[in-house]
Amino acid sequence: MTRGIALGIFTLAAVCLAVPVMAASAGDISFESRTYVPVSGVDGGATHVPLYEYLSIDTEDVIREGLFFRAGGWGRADLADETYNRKTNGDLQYAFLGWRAPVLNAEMRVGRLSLTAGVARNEVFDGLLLGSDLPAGFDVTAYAGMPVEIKQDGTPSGSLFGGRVSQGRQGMYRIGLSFLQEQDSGTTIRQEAGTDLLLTPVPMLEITGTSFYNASDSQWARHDYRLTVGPFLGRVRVIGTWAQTDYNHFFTDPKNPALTPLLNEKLNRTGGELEVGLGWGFTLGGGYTAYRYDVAGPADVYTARLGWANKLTSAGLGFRQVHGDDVENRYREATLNVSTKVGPVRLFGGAQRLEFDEAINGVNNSTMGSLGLAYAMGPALEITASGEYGQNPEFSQQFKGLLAVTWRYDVAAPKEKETEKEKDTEKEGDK
Amino acid sequence: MATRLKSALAGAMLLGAAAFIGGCTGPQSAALVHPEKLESAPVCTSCHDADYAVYNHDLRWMKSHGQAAVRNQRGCEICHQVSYCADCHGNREEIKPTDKRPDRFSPSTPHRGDYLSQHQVDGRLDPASCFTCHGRKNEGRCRICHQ
Repeated sequence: MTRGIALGIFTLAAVCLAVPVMAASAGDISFESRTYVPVSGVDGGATHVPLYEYLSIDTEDVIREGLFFRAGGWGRADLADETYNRKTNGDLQYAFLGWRAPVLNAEMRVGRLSLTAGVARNEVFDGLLLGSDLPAGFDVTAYAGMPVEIKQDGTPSGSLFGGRVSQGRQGMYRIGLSFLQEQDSGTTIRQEAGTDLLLTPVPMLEITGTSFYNASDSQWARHDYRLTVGPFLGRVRVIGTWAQTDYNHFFTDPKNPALTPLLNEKLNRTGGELEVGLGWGFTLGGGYTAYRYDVAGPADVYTARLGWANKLTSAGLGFRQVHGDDVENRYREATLNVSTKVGPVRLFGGAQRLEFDEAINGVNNSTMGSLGLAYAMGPALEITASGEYGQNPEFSQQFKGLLAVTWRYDVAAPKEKETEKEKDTEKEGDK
Repeated sequence: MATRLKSALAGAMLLGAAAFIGGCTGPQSAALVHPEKLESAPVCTSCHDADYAVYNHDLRWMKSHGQAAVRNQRGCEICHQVSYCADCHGNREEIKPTDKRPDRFSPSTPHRGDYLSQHQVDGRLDPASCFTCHGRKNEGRCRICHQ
């Protein structure tokens, strides 16, 4: 909490000091404010009216070329009953100063970073990141800092470092190797390595995938690969997927009782999808995925969807069937969605129907319908309002509403204003 | 294996640091932000050559964008603010994506409708898929109910 407050003050100070400098310098500044009020209530239960405010700022080429600043976060205040057991909450999601060199995409970032690179997946930490392209198709990323995540006892983790190096040729392939280590009080609590792959050896053929290795256990934890072929005649695409997960090595010290039954389980998942453009704006798709476990019985998932779209309107029908080994693991889902634009107003709606083979809380189906509209009051301001009503096994009646206001303010680089000034000067000369 | 990999990565990082500090000559850096404003779901190859086909935001993009981000997160940031990714992948997010963007009611959007009932089955199907957004180590979102 203390580190978060310090970082928040740093961000605010940086913004206050930098804005007048930025205004006088060549550079772009963007502010975005998103306000959400998602109202929800259930029959005989609590009513939630939380007010969320999301703020973000992005600047480029301020003070000097290549320098950029990014920050974003949110805060909540409950206007009615408590949400998630507390009246207020907030998070500084990221806040960093960066500099990109004129060549090689060489870059440095310092502050609160949100990083995805190799085995690092949405790692949020306060620290330093260095990255650069290198000759011969190499690129490298290195990072170190203090993780922001809070452990179950409320204390933050100690330190984290890692990196990724890759080599490739654009349009043909890229192979990456990565490593991450997290320590707390001198003890290594997480040590992971991985590979990532992109292969496009011939047109219309693409292979992508990642493999994740638990270096603490010296065991492979997960492989996840996808093969895409097409589009043939610009319309038909075939996709094959394969994933293998060893949960015992995938989850790092899980204390969540929902996950501990899976620690002796391995999953082998294979699937295929077909997408066809039918013409006249129609697309048809379908897929099948097989889930095969070492301990549990098998499961099969079937999907189908039909979509239609033109410039202003889109609609879709979807179907999904999950057929597990036991009746408690079986359900069917049907969805419908429609969206259309009338001038500055976008109207949208959707419906969902679920049917469970085994009742949950004595109810074996769920129905939901929603309607809404979004009104663009110019390029910088949009207001969205929507309502949703449903009946499900958890609540006999559930309603939700959303009011969202998105406001964006951009300050263009002064060099563009100078151009307008030059034009005005030329006009003056013509008189 | 971990020690050798760490050594290899450390060597690569030193090379990278040398390149960074020295400001070596080389290809010009890409723009921090895409110079032209794009409409939603762009098809990158409509302007760029086939090398950019992996970034086309077509029907499969919802399922394949994760692997593109793993390889090149900075490529995502050319068009997307960091807050855009955090809307789904921020581990402390309280509003689910379909509530923030109710107009995006597409089959691939996660947690639409009554997901509380659905997740009881989907969670048993493959909980590793949950962690794409909810985080592998940070199970806070699940712990609200699963105590």
